[in-house]
Amino acid sequence: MSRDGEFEKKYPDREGQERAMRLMEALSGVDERLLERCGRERKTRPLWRNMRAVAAAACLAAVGAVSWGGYQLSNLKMGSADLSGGAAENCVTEEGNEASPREEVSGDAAQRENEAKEEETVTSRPESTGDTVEDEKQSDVLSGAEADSKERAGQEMAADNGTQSGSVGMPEDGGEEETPVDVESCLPLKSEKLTEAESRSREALGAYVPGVLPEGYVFEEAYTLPDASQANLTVCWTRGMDSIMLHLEKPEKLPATVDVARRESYDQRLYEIPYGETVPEDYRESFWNPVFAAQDFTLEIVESRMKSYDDAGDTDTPRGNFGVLYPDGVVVRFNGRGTAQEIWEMFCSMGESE
Amino acid sequence: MTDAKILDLYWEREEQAIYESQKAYGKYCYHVAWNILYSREDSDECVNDTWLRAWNAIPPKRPGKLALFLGTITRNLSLDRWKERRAMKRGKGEMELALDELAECLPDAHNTEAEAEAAELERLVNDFLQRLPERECNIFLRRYWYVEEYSDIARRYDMKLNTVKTSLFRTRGKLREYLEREGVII
Repeated sequence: MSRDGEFEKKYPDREGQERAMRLMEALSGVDERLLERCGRERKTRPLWRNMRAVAAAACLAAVGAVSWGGYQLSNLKMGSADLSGGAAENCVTEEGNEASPREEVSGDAAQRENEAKEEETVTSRPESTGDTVEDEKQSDVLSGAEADSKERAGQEMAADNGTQSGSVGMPEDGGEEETPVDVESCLPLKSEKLTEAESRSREALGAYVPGVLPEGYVFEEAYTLPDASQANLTVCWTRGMDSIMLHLEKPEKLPATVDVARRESYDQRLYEIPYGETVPEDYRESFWNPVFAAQDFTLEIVESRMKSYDDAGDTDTPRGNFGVLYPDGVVVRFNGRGTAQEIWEMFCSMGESE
Repeated sequence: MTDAKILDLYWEREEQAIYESQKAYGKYCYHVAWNILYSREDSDECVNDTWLRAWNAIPPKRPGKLALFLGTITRNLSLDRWKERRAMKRGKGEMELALDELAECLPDAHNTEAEAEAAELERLVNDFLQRLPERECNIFLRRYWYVEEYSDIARRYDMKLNTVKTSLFRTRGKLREYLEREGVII
């Protein structure tokens, strides 16, 4: 065997290897903004997490509105203290239009106050000192985990290394504003990979991993996200360029199911592309992601959701998506390809062990 | 500690800078190295070398984004290490697959006239990436900058595995066309 082994078999011409490596190296000089962006974009966060932020923003807005209202009222009472020199009622009648001089003044004052607070926060932040204990920590940081040698070992070990500051940044040469780099988002998601057999043996959800799949599909991967608030399992099978992905979960709050009598709210055959123009707004939510109650779920419903598309470069296997809510609260979300009959049979083989 | 403070420590030649860098970005840099090298020992060494390189580079440099600056150093060190290691034995892991895929983007050697400067290639690659739709560009960078597995990318962006594969396949095709059109000589 040559010293480069099988790698050279892949690139019989040495030039091929070198050229690929040069391209790889050229990527090291990629624009920081692009790199930052690809770390920033994440999959959709669970609704409950977004709701926290929305609730926090709403609270802040409410506090702000009350404070501002109080401030306005006190100025109305004081009257002569009007810095704008105009009538106090201007503040009320022109609110929401152009900022009055008073608003500008108070805005500046608030800004100054905020700046002062920020400065105070920064200056009062405790500074680390390079004592011997920390030096010891420093040398230990990267040699901490003597973990297993499995595929994920390195990433798991990385997770044990040091304490990560989630989001930090600095002004570029002191000129620009701080734009945080979300380092955390550059790291792999915490997920637990499973074999097909392991996925079938998962408590509560494993029974919904189908025993029958459309012909030719082979297991690709299965994983669960241990940090999620609810039991979850994702399993994927592929057949060339076709794939089937099932997200199984047992949410605390059950999703609303579609009224199957109202075909117009979910039947893809009734609408033409672009759906954004043809599907009435009232049905958009159910049309894009319908969840059917298990007792209403029939082959006809599957047929209404599986459709072939003439996408350039794509296979013509019908594709579609939908969810099924089972009586025990398990929701199975399907996204993939196959004929309606195949997908129906796949669903029929779910939960058989229960 | 903020990037600005860490950089100040570097500028003041305080060794604490290295500890703070390690604390803040050790995990991130290790991840970058691991995806390329698939070896704990090599990844550790590259990450440790990263602090030394950063120590020597700052000052005079004052990077805008410390994380990306350190990550790029780690990536370059890891690529060098990978080449060294390949000279002795066969590499393994995603790096090999990623290179295999990238090779498709390059015009054949006999169609090229001479070697282009690395800086020019870098400029062209950047230009190409800037023109890509955001999602496509992100997927490309996750694969070929971070050398992440398809499945990790699919999970990150909540996409189907095949959609990721298709996206990368198309992007590589576009990159190849673009480089050919630009008369790139690699």
